[in-house]
Amino acid sequence: MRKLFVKYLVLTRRGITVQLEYRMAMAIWILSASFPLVMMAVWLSLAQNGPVGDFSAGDFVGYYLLSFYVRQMTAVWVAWELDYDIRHGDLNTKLLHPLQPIHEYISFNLADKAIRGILFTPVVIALALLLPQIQIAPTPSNLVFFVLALTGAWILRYLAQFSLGMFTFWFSQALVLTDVFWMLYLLFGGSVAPLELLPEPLQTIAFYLPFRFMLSFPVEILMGRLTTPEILNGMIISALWCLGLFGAYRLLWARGIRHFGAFGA
Amino acid sequence: MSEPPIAATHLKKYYQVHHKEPGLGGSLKSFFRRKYRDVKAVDDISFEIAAGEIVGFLGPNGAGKTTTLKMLSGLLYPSGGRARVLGFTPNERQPAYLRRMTLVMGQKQQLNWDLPAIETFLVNQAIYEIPDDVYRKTLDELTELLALASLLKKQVRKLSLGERMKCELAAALLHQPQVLFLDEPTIGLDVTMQTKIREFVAEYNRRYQATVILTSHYMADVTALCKRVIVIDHGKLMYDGGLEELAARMAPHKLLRVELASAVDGQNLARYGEVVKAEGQRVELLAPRSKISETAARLLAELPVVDVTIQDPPIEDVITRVFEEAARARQADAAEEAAEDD
Repeated sequence: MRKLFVKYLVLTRRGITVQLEYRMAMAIWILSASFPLVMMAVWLSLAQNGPVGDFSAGDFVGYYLLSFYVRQMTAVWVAWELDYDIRHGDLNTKLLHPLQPIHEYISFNLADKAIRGILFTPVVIALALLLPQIQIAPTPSNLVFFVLALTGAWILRYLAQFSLGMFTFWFSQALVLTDVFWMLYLLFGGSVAPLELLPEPLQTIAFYLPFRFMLSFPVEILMGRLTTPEILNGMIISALWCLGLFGAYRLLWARGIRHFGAFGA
Repeated sequence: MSEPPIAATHLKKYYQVHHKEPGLGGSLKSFFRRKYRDVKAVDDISFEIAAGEIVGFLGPNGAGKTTTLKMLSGLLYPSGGRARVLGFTPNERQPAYLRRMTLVMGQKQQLNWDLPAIETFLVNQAIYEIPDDVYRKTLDELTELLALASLLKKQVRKLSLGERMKCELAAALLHQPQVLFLDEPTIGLDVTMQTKIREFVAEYNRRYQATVILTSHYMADVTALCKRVIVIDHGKLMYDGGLEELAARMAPHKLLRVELASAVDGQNLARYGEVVKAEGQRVELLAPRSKISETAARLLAELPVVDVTIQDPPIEDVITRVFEEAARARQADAAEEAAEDD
């Protein structure tokens, strides 16, 4: 475990160095994840003449500011990396290392999280303090649950995208799957609208799908919209999804590597 | 003596390749109904390699050399037969195995393009769990042997091809592997750099008693490094043995270099064998191996010979000839498949 930790440390350090080399690309990447701020503007204009459902203007500000932060801190692009590495044979280099390749991919993502964390955590905290009408409930227990739920959201997004990316082992256009996934994420994750505002059958469906736990759930916690039992309940569902996706990753990897080993690149 | 470090037993790799006719019509046809055909990239190959040996893999493009190396290093699953390296089954990719071998592909790289090579070295130190003191010692040795000192801190993309290859080799050898698979390590390099890489491989082999399989298009690499060669063509093992015996077996002729006291005309010379070169009094003749002493005796008796030596023809020529003949035989068999490249 300690050895693995050292490997992560070194790999993440290199990841940060690599990403600092691509300052421009990084800036564009980060901006491309600012969709929640656009949605905030849309909903604010709708909420001007009074609350929409249970959401006041201040709620929308809080909701989308936190959504923005969660989006940034859970950004994942590993499906594209896998797609490239599998089709170009670059996966071979990682397969020759005495370390499961997923660790190399994860450490690169962690490097990105370190950078974004340093950039955005102070900004979001400052905005939360400065925006007058913002509605959030950063109690100590909510903050702890938020961090847990945020970590869960990142794990879910990472495992889901890694699993989708592995379909490149079998189909060269597997990336279309990530488009479908993305659409579902925007709708059922609470990006287009807070899930509470979705019409009824969709709202119940959203509650059980994994997408809520990739975005909306940590936001709901920090806004103080959930009771403790609701939070714990959500944590359990989220953990079950993590386990399920981890199983999917293990299965797809074992089969995919066999397939890759049979056909090569 | 226990198991040899490298052993292949009836090793096979068959692929199904999707076969498409050219053009849009061909694409449409293949969209609705794909045609597949089997390609036997490696077809029942067996060999063993002893500890400390450097063995050259020879064969034209697509012969199955790289596929064999990929099976031995665990990247590909054999379709049949088995591979054993250092007591491991390579495709299980056990960390204990991966820590003791390396595969260097001249056309692929592991160094990060945007960072100096030393960054990749540090990552490899962590991944391979190399203790600090061992890492420093090995790095010093490699730096000295490959003259890396000025290269380590330069961005990899700013290095020349040869400099990059030297860094690639160092990155691949930091963990002091006992088995090296080198696939075209000198490809695209100039002659000086080829020689340096070659000398380095020989020195590494000597220092660490490493077992090496090397493929190369440059015969000079093979003749300089390998006493033993394995010749593969179209997935089949054609020869496994000493480099010199290869010439004996595959070249039905020997080369007679003759120095004459006075020039003799070509027609006269042709009675003794195929004239390769005739520059005044210096003549080179190819004569059948089986009759070589007889031919030499006749030359000495009948012509004003000052000096005569009998040699094997250059190994490059022998190999080229063998592959050309094999290719001609195949072309006669299957002319329609010749266009497809693999």
